[in-house]
Amino acid sequence: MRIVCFALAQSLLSQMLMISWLFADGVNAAQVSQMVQDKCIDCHNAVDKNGGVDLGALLESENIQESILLWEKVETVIESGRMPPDSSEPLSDDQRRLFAGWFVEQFVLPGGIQHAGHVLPRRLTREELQNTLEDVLHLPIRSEVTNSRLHVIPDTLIEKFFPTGVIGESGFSNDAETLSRESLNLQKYARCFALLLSRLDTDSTAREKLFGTETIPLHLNDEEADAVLRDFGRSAFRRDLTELEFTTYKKLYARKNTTQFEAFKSSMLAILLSSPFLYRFEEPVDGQAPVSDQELAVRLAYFLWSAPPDLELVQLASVNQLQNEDVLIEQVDRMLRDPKRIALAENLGGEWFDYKKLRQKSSVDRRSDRMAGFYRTQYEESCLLFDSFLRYDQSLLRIVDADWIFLNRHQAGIYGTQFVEHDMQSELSLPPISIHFRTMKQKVSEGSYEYRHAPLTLARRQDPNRFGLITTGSTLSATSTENRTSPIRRGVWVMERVLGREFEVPEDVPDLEETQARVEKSNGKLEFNELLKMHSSQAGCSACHQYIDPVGFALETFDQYGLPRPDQFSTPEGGEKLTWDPRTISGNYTDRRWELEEALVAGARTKIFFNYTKGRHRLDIRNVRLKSLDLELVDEHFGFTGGARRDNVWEFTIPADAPEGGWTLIANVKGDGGNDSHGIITVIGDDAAAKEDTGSRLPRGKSFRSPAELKDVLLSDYRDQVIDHAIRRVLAYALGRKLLPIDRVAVDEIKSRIADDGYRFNALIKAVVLSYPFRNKEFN
Amino acid sequence: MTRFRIPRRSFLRGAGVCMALPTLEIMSGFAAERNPSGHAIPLRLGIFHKGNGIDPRAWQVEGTEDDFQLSQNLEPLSKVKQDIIVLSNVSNQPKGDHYGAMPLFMTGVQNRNPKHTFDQVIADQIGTSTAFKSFQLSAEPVDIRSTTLNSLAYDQQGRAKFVERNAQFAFDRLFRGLNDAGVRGELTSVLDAVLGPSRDLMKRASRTDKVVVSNYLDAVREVELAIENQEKVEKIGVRERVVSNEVVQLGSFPEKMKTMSDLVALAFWTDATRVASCIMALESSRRIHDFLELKADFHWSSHFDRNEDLARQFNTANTWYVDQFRLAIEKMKSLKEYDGSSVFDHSVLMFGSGLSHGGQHVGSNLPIVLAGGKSSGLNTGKFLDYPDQPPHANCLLTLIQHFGVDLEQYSNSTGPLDRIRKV
Repeated sequence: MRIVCFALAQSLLSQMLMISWLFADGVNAAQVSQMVQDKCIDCHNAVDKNGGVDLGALLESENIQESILLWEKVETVIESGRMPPDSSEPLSDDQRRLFAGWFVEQFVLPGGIQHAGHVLPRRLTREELQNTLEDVLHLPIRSEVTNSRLHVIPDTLIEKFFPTGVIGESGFSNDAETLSRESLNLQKYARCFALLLSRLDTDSTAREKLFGTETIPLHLNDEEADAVLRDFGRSAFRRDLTELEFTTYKKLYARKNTTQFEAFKSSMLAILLSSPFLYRFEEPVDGQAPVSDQELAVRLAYFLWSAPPDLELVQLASVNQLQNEDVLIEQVDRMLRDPKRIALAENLGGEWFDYKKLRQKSSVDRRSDRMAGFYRTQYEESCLLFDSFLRYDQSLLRIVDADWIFLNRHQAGIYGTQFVEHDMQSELSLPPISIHFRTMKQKVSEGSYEYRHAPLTLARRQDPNRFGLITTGSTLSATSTENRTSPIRRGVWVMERVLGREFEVPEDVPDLEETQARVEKSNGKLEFNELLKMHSSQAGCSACHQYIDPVGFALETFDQYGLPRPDQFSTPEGGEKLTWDPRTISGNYTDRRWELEEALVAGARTKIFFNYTKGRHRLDIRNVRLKSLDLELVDEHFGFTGGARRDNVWEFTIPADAPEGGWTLIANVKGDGGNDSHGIITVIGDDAAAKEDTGSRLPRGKSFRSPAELKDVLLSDYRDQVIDHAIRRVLAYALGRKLLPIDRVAVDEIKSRIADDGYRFNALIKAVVLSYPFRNKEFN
Repeated sequence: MTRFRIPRRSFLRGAGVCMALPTLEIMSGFAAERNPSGHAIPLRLGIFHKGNGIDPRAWQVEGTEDDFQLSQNLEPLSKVKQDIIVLSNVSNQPKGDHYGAMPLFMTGVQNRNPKHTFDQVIADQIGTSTAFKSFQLSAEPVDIRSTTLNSLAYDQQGRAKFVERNAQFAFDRLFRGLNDAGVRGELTSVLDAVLGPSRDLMKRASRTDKVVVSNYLDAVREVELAIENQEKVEKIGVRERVVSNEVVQLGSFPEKMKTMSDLVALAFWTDATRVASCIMALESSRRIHDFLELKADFHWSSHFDRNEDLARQFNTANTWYVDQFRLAIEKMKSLKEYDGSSVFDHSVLMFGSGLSHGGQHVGSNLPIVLAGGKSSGLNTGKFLDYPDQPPHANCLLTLIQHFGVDLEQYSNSTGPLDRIRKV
């Protein structure tokens, strides 16, 4: 690294700044450095570190990795216009272009060429390890639990030995860097593999596949024994053994003073404990080069299946056919037809949308079997939903507004929805995936219940508030504890996982309690929502909370289990209460009238609730009107007393010029099957009176009140971000590292490629496989 | 009373089968343990960490060094008051968050990438002759959001030390694994075979990749060392202590917790390790302590400023964890060494949290209780207040030096704390 000393003439602080290698080349660099010093250093220097940023140190920094992150932040604030702040003179268009150009030169296309980026050797994740062992040893590990009679899936042997992976900076647990930072407990691997190998004692199919014969004791001759070792080594290392390797394992095998079978097991144990098995190594090159066919096969298989390449991939690679674009696309199609594609739903989808977390929530040592089964069902709903994007060749925008889900009647009942089948028509339709487990409790005899397998099938969503992944049960559960929801966590979930906005946890969070105390001191009392608004409206907080809060509040209509809030079931407090004599209700729709005593606030909203108190029948309501003099307001929808979701509420906006008093409530009602319906009508005016309920709004786009409206805003005003983020997620998962500025080229290419294809998921996967960073490797 | 003496080999041959053995009391009752080399009983370090902090009103102790009242949270320790040291005003870190709390507890600073936690500094010194240099346990599952939520111990390279969450596996590793010479032999030859190709890889690896391969080689070396140590121990023939699998209780959380702390005690007793840590509650724990009839999840109740009922729930839960610490102490007292002293007599224990006021994430005046038996060298039975708010690393340095490590400075320490060690 060359360090160029650059003496400054004009700095208010008259510092001698040592400019690092970044600025060693090009006129641009000198101009940018000058610009930073003119426009930024006054506030962002070692003494006045506004916002914690010292750009002087950045200009001097020699640590390239760290400086990329900070320069990205500088780029973001310049591009968004947030810096220079309003109090300063803004940058001219020329200056912004200058910075952008320099940034591209330095970080996006260093040296003027595209970069594939370097990935550390990737240790096999827990899921990859399980699938790899199944293939290499021909032993069933996963299926032995999925067909169990228990209503909650117990952990497999591998899952017992190895804990859930921690999410890395890429957003996934297959992040090479995070994996390399955890220390390796080889003794644990040894014990686990030894246990697995001992299963060969009883599994004749496996022995047949490994040794060519199932009978033990084995009596293979030297040549056959060598072949067994080489084949096993090749399968385990995903490449041929080197001569050194072969000799070493052969020596171990030969040294054993026991049966041939035991000797094989010993050398197999050694092979499985070796680093070429546990890690995915790629042959180093100088600079950049395309990956070899064999390496491409490995990347492809672990991307789509979290498993090693199968025979067909291996054969194509061995004749150097895999790099052919047509062949690659054909292979992707084939691999997505294979049930092993479930790995994408479990690992890519599961960690992207956090529903993998529900596997832990439903683990076997929970105290309530019912809850465990409930969470496990939610996990499967989302797993199958994600898989259906691939299966039915859907656009990735369906993440937000898919109008289908996977349910069974039991689960639909819990959510309070009707089970209606969906018949998805699609040109491309891949075979289904099935995950077996017990979901439905069935009575087998008096007092005795059994959980039965009730597969989830494709159902139609009828309420737009429920469309898409944001409002699936798993999302709503994953962002809550058992006692309560968290609007903040839901807001952050949407921001991070749908829009790709990253948030840093703030350092100096003022306490919610302090805010509350302050409010109470001034004799106020705020609802939780308003408290949060005040707490978050402090400068510095709003930067993030202007995104988080509106979203979180819109999703508050669902409780911590993903069920609609039971508020509507119980009679609201306050307001004017009216009732009716059930004997006067007939079985045919007729208008009933009530004179309101209390005034309705002009310019505000009024809600009218019909709640059930007792009786064998409910009251059906077809429409509700409010009348005063010649002004009549109507809200027409079907509902009934009590009711689910919002269909027992009728809403009106009282015009600003309306009279305050003399209102009559008219409802078109009938008794449902009889006239034994008792209930209460509540008329409540909006306390935030005289203020239009504008709902919440994100920085861009219309305001929204309900989850359905939020999704509309996301798809209309934030559509680009949803698409960009989906591409980045899938690419990061495929590469096993977080994305850097060098990957922007690939992301752009992928985006334009899939735009022609309706932004469909399958097209996205193919585009990622064909992308430059996926097909090339880089070493420094 | 018949003396039971079950040869280790035959016990282990039944490995995989849960053999009912005579209770531990009988086992420890028999005298005449072989100790031909006059092997001194080593000093051990046990760490018990509980996340989410405390309510200072329920934790803070008042009084003088010798004359003090135990607070509500510390009430369960009243029977062992003479064996503990309550610290006060240790640590001067600002407000932090849950991600930095464990690193604060173990290194003295809130750092998302901690290196060389104090227990590892000690383990590097005293752990070289035991089967396990150190052993890490956790009663809690993994939180996928960050490594610093899941591990207390980090080695010199900043790698999180392996944490065992499965009680049965922990038992097997501690008391069955390398005790069998056959297993050791097998592993040794396997590992020999494993090294050659990896070294070859190392030569060809690029600069950044060498780190990964060397991590792997370190891991291999770790197992080899464990095997070597076990063979040394067997040669000297010090302890033939057999531990019953009945100690592994699964099911409810209290049972799991008891199992984990029992395993620490037994690991010390069999000298499988001399440095052990146990995570009792994650920093991100949202556990609902229903067995205490509490309804709020742990984290929610840590924001106890909101209302008195939350505070009550928070304090009840915290007091329970302190009680678990008492159980660990009593377990160690019940396990006898060959000279009649107890495991606890030769142990230094530390219980506490990386946060004080849980709701406000305060990083100063950390809630810490030390405990030590007669031969631990600690100045127990005291309430030690340090009004000048020294860095927590000072406390850690004190312990480091106590275990004989020749270090003048650790992390951001300014010197050891006085009055903790018996002069």
